[in-house]
Amino acid sequence: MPSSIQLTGLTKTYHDFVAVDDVSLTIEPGEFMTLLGPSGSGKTTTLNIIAGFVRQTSGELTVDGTSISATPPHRRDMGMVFQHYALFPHMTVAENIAFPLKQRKVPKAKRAELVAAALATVHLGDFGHRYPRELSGGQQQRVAVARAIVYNPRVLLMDEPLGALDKKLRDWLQLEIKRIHAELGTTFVYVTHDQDEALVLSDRIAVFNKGRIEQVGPAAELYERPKTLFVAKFLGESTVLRGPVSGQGIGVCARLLDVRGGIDGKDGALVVRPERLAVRKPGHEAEPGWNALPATVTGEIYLGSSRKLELKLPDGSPALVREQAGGLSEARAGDEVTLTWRVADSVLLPDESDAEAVLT
Amino acid sequence: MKERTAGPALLLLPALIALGVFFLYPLGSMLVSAFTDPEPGLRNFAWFFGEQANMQVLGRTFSTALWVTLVALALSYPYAYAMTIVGARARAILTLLVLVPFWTSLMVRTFAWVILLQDTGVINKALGALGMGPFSLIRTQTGVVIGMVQLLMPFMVLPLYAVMSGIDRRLLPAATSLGAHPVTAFVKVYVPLSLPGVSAGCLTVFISALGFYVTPALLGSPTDALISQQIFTQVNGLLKWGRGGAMGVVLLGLTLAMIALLGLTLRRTGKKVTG
Amino acid sequence: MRARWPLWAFCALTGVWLVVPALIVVPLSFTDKPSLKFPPDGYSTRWYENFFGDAAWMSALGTSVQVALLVTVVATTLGTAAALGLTRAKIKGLALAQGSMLAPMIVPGVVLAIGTYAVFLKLQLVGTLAGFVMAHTVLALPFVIIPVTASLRGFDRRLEDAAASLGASRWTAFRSVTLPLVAPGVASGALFAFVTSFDEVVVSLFIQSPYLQTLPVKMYASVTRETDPTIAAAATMIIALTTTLVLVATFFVARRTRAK
Repeated sequence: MPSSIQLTGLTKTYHDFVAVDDVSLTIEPGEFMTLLGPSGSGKTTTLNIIAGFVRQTSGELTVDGTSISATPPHRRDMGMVFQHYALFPHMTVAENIAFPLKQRKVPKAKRAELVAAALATVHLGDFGHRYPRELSGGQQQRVAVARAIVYNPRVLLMDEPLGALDKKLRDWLQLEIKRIHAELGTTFVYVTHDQDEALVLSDRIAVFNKGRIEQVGPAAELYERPKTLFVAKFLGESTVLRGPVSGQGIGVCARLLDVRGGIDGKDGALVVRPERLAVRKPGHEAEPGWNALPATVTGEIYLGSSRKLELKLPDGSPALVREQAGGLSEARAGDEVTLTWRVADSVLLPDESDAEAVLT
Repeated sequence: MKERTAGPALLLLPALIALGVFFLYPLGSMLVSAFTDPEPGLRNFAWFFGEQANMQVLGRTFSTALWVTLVALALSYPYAYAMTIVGARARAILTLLVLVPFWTSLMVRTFAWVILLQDTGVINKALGALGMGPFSLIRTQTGVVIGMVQLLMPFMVLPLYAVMSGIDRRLLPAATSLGAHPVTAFVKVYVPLSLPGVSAGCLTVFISALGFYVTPALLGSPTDALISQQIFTQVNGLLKWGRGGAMGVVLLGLTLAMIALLGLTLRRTGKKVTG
Repeated sequence: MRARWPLWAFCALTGVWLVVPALIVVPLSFTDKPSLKFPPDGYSTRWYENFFGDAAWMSALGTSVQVALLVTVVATTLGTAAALGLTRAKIKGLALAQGSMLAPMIVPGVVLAIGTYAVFLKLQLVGTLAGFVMAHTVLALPFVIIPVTASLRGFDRRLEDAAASLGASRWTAFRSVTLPLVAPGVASGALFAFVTSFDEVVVSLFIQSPYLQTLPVKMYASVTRETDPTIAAAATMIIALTTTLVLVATFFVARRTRAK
């Protein structure tokens, strides 16, 4: 049976630095939960608190309703895949995988059987007698996964497990991890700073920033309906239009743009995804339910299946448009154009000037 | 190409000649005297292996070297481990402390131990203040071991540290995440990985301890002499060149055997970890 | 986090134990009583006066410094040449040559001492300056060869070729490019050579004569015979000398590495 995990008000401080700040999160049984965020955002510390390597300053941690805050790591019955694999160099692959079984006093015959099954799961059937140093990075990574799943732990924790591999291998291993998750049905908690990885793998993503969770939800929700400017900018590309917010809308480049909903405070940021923006002839008037802004095309990038246009708004801020092949406009670099988008496709958020600082 | 290889080879000559005259020739003459003095034959070896007293000397030499090695290991292992987990500044201090005996003259240190260990010395006074002792430390095997361990610590700590600093410390949390108790994790993962350093350190210390002369001569009891002291006595005191030579041959043979063993274990453990 | 204080306490104790023997000698040398009682009751410099006023101690000190300086020159020269040969020659038996040059490190002192004694009796070198210098040189050679070989192996041979292509003769290239770059290795070799000779006891005990002794030999004799704090004064000066040497060397190495 896969387990549920509940974090309630978890906080970890080092002297006066708050690494994890009042984090609450419920992870459902069998769920693939990704903790996503830039380095130093508290995601790895949170994972280490779940694993038991770091003791929280305050807050509660329960698995299946039972508190494990006081349980030492070796009794938590969780599997962990480390960023640098942490394979034991003096043991063969089979001995590495048998290690957790020995700790659990699994009989020898049963051990061999489970090791073989785990190796088969990661497609490394013939590698049992090799030493870790004789394997490639990708193979070592799969051994690390096999070692963490062989004892059927109630939760599998992964700390940037693909961070040390090159792009091509990473893409393939992402699919492998997804397959293993589907096969085992275990609860996975996965830490990464790579948004694409998070989008490919996760059932739900928790976006971390400065020790706090900014937003939790399925990938589509985070992408389409970000709750903070940080989430909008961290996941995917977007155009951000800043200006004062009033009852009628947001003032950008001396125009009043229509928005849905409202925000607390005066400074607003209107976020539009590049594929939601369209380029029209200069002077084009917005239809009802649409917004329009004049802009200058500053550059174009041809990407095969799509084209990216870089634009500049009258106030100097940049905008980004993605056009699918087959639906390309005639705009070229240097052209004066009108940018339009449906009001429903934009999201109004409070402006946080520090969202930029974190990303750059 | 010939011109390029002959020149550098000639550079070896002065050192080789010096070694030939002042190292190989002396060793050879000792070897010869062992078999020829006072007359050709194996009489000197028969004397050495035939006398109970000599076997006791050999046993005592071995047990002293073994004790020195074990005590040095027991002290150095945690010390070297600490060196790997502290910050740069603390590590510099620990390294400096270990190198102090290395740079202090052997004679000075041995002299200091004579003062410290004497029956009315600092150590006995301190123990007396705690309600213990007095123990006779000087002119006992204990005293010899205490002095020699301090002298040989660097040779244990440095190889241990070299190996330990190469061990990936993240393996320990990895082992506990797999269900191993922290102590089990240390014993099953860290200790095996540190073994090359342990064997290198132990054999170096053991070999050095076998041949020590000054420290046992000054800290030990004349009646419990080690083999080095006996060699000294035979040659310098009794002018029995043959007997001294035979003992020298035995000591040299033992040392070489230990070095061969060291090479063998290093090659084996080296293979297991790297190749 | 588990408490680490037992480990720190252990290290502190071990650290004290490593250093204390060297340190008790210093206060002891300033005692005002003619006994080696520690801690001393009162302080004076009489044992230093005694040391500098005693012809035997002074001549032992002189011999030691003279021998050690000569050994430094001879061993550094021979060792550097040998290290060059070891890293550059392409001949058979190079491994054997290297092994035999490092052998003096592992042969027990007494074994070499009785052999050297026998040979020196034949060659009439017992109790001579040349005898001390040569016996110590052989012992110091490995300590020169190891650091110099190490720095030569880290040296890029192409730099010499570059110098040659710029018009330097082989010797000029060596002197102006190779030598400055391996100088730290040679310097630490020289330091080791000096200290090895200055500290040597066992071989020296055999090849000394009543007329020519080194400082450690004189100390050895004194420890076995007398309880005279002049030994402590001598020991303190040996500590001061080697410490100064090591500190100066460390300072220069640190400055060179900073300069790079």
